[in-house]
This record gives sequence, structure tokens and C-alpha cells, in this order.
Amino acid sequence: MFTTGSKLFLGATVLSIVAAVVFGLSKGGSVGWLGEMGLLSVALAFGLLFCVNYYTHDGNVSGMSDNATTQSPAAQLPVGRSMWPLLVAVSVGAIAVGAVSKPIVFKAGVVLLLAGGVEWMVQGWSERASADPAYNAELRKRMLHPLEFPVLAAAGLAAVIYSFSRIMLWIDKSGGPVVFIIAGALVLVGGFLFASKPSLKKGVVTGICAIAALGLVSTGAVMAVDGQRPIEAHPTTKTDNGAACSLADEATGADKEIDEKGSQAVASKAAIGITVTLENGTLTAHELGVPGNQNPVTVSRSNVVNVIFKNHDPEKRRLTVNMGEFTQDVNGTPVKTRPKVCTTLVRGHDGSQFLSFVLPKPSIATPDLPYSFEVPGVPGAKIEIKVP
Amino acid sequence: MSGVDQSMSTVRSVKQRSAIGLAFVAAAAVLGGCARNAPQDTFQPAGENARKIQNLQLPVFIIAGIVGVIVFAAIIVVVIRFRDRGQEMPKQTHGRPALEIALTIIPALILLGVGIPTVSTVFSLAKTSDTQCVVNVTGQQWWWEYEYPVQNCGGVEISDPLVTSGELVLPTKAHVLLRITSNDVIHSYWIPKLNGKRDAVPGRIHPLRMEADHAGIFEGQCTEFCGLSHARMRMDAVGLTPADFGTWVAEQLAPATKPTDESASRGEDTFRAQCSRCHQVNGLMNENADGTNSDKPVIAFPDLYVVAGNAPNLTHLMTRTTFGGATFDLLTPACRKALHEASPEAFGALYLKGVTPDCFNEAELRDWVRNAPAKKPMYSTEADKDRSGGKYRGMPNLNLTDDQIDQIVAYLLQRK
Repeated sequence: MFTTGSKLFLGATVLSIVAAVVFGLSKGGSVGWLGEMGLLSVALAFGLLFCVNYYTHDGNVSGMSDNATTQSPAAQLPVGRSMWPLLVAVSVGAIAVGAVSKPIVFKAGVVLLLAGGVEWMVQGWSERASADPAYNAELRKRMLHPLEFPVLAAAGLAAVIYSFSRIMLWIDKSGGPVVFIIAGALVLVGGFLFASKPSLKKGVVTGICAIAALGLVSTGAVMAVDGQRPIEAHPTTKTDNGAACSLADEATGADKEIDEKGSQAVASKAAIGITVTLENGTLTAHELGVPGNQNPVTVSRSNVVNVIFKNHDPEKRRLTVNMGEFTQDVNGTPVKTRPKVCTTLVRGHDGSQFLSFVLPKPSIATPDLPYSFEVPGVPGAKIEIKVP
Repeated sequence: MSGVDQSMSTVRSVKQRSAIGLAFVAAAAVLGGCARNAPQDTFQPAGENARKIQNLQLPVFIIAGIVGVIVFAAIIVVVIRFRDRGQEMPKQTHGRPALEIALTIIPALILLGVGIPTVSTVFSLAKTSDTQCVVNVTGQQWWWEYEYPVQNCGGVEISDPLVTSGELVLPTKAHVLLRITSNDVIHSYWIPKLNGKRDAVPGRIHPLRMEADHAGIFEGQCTEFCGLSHARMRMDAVGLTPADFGTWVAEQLAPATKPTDESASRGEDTFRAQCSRCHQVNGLMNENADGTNSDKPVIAFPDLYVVAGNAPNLTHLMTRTTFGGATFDLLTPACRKALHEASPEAFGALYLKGVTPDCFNEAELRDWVRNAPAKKPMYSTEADKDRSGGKYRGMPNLNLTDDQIDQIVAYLLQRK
């Protein structure tokens, strides 16, 4: 009758057909058709495998043969216990729990179920592949090691990196470099010692590495649960119609502005086009590559202008860019606007802050209020910006 | 002859023809490098920095060539002389300290000989402290803009910033610092006869110094793939004597002149309605309700239409010799030839004449105004616009009528 292998593929075929019907009926439309076609193709493939297995009796010897009772795989003693049923059971449990709790648990369950299922199937097949247990074990390795090794290595690496990152995020900002240096030194010294003692037993090396990995992962887990250190949000620029940027104090709340494009600002800070310095009540501008200071400063139309403001004044100061005066049509009424962009207050003596802006119109577009840099509260600290 | 023989003969014939074809291609490529009047020839430096590069690359090329010839000759000799003739295996030895030390020291010395002048040249090329003139250079798909800040540029006072495109005009024998950047994607600026390449990167400013020995036109092109019309993103550097450069600056600072005839006057209206959304003409005024000019200038707003947020300023278009990313000639072929082949002494006067009616390559400009994307591929259809965040990359087809094209061309011809 039906052999073990053919029963498996027959079941898979029926399951695929049922899935195709259910999917087609529930989804409908082009997506339904597409899914149905895919699942029917899978059913066809399983059907073909069923036929092959049925015809070849799973590749086993005939029950009438003398070998069937002595040397056939089925005649061999069952091999040892397998961990895969346990993993599959745990996976199913995780899927059930994840379905009502967190999606990540559900996804982990699905991944483990797939991995456990594949391992179980291959092991089950390889244990009966021949009458030679050693050959069967070798066959399993050849089938699964190319898959197991990269996946386990990636998972191990991910665990180490994730744990280490949790540790680095937990500890104090100033302690980070110290921990990093110590960890690096430990790896270097450990590697050196292992290399200089080739006679060291494999078990000792494995034990030390296992303890280190366990320590790292458990510490990372504890610190992940505890949460990362408070990370300060750095205020940078403020864009408004002139109110906050015109003030020399903190009364407006402009200093609570948080840079929403922090990652871009990091890149921009490495590409400063103009350095604006306030010193002794005088504002100076130095353009990258140009000898001396410039006044007026010429910037390109529609081009991103990256500025660093250096405050050498004893007081807290902000740099403001006056971006002209324009008339906007608001519900049929012409309304004048004076857009500005500014830094938050920068500490005195040696404070500095980044500022980025774009002027899309030439200077002739705003004859009454030219573009300019200025420092509120410092009379005369002003530099005209020209856009040809 | 059997069928098999015929097939073999056909294969041999195809192989022979392919070999001859390849030989021709290789010969053309090699001989092309020998052209004496190639416009973008890095081996004909016409400026201090280009000469520094030349002075470095020639000896390095010779050294590398000699090393290459020795290595290839040694390989050929060894392969032929010691090929397997069935002889006995020679005696095997391990290690020859003297030889190994010599073969380590000789390459190290060669590298040192190449490295020292290379590092010295790199630092020398990066020098900007002796700058005599600054030009802001901005790349955008697919043209270059040049802005001259307020400064004393090689002895010529620039009282107000000026802007031009396509042609970088510089005073001869002056150290000109280009501050190169981009408004959209990465481009690369290269005038082979004046200096090496420098990338134009959005948000960054990359300095590059240039100096032209004599008056003339030095051609270049974008050397970083930047999209559909990368090959048509060219640039000319124009060297003018300081006196001629002063004249050019004065011309560029002047506002646009009023149209002098009926067609050009109508062209101004058409330009105002169709072109001024993106193209700035300094001095072009808005119209009052009664049709007279108001005192409010027309301000282009290309930032609403073009990804780069910019379009060429056309105030003095006819003082240039090219348009469309320095790809198309505003001059007729004869006038262009006369200008490009003019002696350094005669060049300035000829260039400053600009585009005169008898030298005007009207057909070229007319084709452009009629349908720019047909002349130079750009992402400027409505579908392209949707893919680029609602903005064009380049100039769209404005679907102008023949009358409108006539008027705009007449108007542009007077932009001097």
C-alpha cells in the first residue's frame, strides 16, 4: 500500500489543494488567482513526488526480499533520541502565545517551526537512507551543515553584537570608550594567549569562550531590560517668521527646538561652507577656501549653505539668518512675511553651533530687507548675504 | 568540400574578420591619443596646475612603462626559454637572500621615487592661500553655473555678484579658486588643459584652483555619471586678459536692455509668460494692468519646478557662445571655428563681440526653444515629473507656437 514517504507527500498535496481553494475563496481578485496558481503549482510538485515515492516504494527493498529482514533500513534498530520534536512543540507554543501577545514571539515561533521541521525531516530521512548508521550520519551532515553553520554563525554574531550594543547604550557616555578599549584589549590578549599556547586543551579554550559569551549575552540582556541611559536631545536650529530668532534671550521656547534631521546634520557638519564668528562685538564670515574674511558673503541660489557659528562673546548668543521679506497671498490678502532661521542660544567664550539654510531667490527679490547674518542683542553684528 | 569542412572554414573566416575588426578598433583608439589638436587633451597643459600634473605624470608614466616592459619581457623570455620540452626537473632551491633583498629594495626605491613628487604635487595642487579670484561653481542636471562674489578678481573690481552659466570666464595668469558644489546629484568638474577633476557634491564645497596661461577657450565635460544627459553636460573655460575680463565684468553687471524691435518686444511678453518661471533675466520688470512696466522685477522661481531649484540666468545669454549645458553652439560653425582658432592676442576682442546677428546659429536655438528634451534628453515629461517629487529634471517641452518661438528667439538675440 502507501509507503511512509508517499503518505507524507500525499498529505502535503491535499493540504496544498485545500490551501489553494481557501486562499482563492477568501482573497478573490487577482491576488486570489495569483495565490491559487502558486499553491496549485506546489500541490502539483508534491503530487509528482507522491507518485515517484509510491512507485519506488520510497526506494526501499521489497518486503519479499531476504534483505528486507536483515539489511534494509527498515530492519535497522531505531537511532537515538531527537531534539527536533521538542523544538517543533516549543515553536507551536510560541506561535500560539505570540498570536495573542507580541508579534515578535509569533515570528520567532514561525522561524523555529520551519527550522525544526526541516531538521526533523532531514534527520528522519537520513536515518533510514541506508543500512549503515555512520554513512547516514555523514549524509545528514552533508545535507544540513551548509545551512546550519552560516545560520548559527550569523545568529551567534547577532547575539554578541546586540548584547554589546545594549551594554554600550546602558553605560555612561564617558565610560563607553573605556569599556570599548577594555573589551578590545581582552579579545587581543586572549587571542594572543591562545595562539601562544598551542598545547592548550580544546575543552579549556571552548570553556573560556563559552563563559565569556554567556557573560556578554547575560549582561547585555540585563542591561537591555534595564534600558538605555537617558540620551540628551540636542537643540540646534529654529525656523520661524522672526519672533524667536530676533531675541537675545531664552524667553521664547525656541531653545527647546529639537533637530529633526540629526543624522543629516552630522554629515553637514563635516561640510561647512562658511564659518561665522562673533568676537568683541564684531561678526566676521570666512568662506571655505577663500583667504581672509568676506563681507558681503555670496551664496549660490537654491544651494544648501552650511554654516558654523562660533561665539567668542562672553554672553550666550544666537546667529540669525534674515531670509528677506516676501509678500504672500493669504485668502486674497497680501501678507508680508520675514522668514528667518537661527541657532539656539550658544554658550559664551567658545560655544559653537551648526546652521543650515537655502535661499531660493536672488537678492533682487527682496530689495527692502536684504539677506543677512546677524546676532540679536549685538548692535552692528551684521553681514549681508548676496545671492546673484 | 564536406559540410564539416565548410563549417570550419566559415568559423575561421569569422574569426579572421573579428580579429581584423578588433585590430582596427585598437589602432583607432591608440592613434586617437596622438591627435595634436584634441580639445580636451590633458597632455597639452595651458595652466600652472595642469602643468604640475603633467610634470608628475610624464616621469611616472615613463618609469611605469619601463617597469612594465621589463616585467613583460622577463615573462616572455621565461615562458619561451624554460618551456617544458620533456627535460628533467631542475634542481629545486629554497631562498636566495641577496636576490630577495634586492627585489624588495628596488621596488621600494621606485615607489619612493614616485611617491615623493606625487605627495609634493598633491599638496601643491591643494594650495589656495595665493588665490586672486574666487568663483562659485554649481553643477546641476545638466549644466554648470558660475557666480562671481563681490571681490577684486585678478585686478578687476566686481562691485556686485554676477552670475553666468556654461562658460567659466577667468582673467589670464590669475590664480582663480573655484568653489565647486552641486544642487542635485554628484557631478565632476574637469577642464583637462587647466587642472584635474574635482567632484561636485551636494552640500559640500570642494576647492579647485585654475589658471589660464593665455586667452582662449578650454573645453571640458562632466566626468561623473549624473543621469540621462551626462554626456551633454559640458563646460568651457574662457581665458581673457585682465583688461578684456574687466570689460566682460562690466557687461555682465549691466541690467538687461529693453527690446528694440516689435518682434523682440513681443518676445519679452512671451518670455515673461512662459520662461520667467524658471529663467531669471535681471532688469526684466513685471507689467502693470495697463501694459506698462512696473517697478517690480520679475523673479523666477525655479525652486518650484526644477529638482535643482535653479535654471540658467539668461540676462546676457548672447555674450556666451554656447547654451544647453555648453553643448550647443550659439555661433555658426564658421564663426565658432574663427573664435576657437583665434590667436591669444585676437581672441579677447572676438569673444567680447558676443553673438552678432551674422554669426547667430538661429536654427540651433530655435530647435531648443521648440522642444528642448528632443534635443537633449531630460527627465522633463509629466510622467518624469511625478517620479521626481513633482519637479522636472531639465527643461520641459513648452509646446510653443511658431510665432512664439520667433518672438522668443528675437528677444534672446538681444540679451547682451
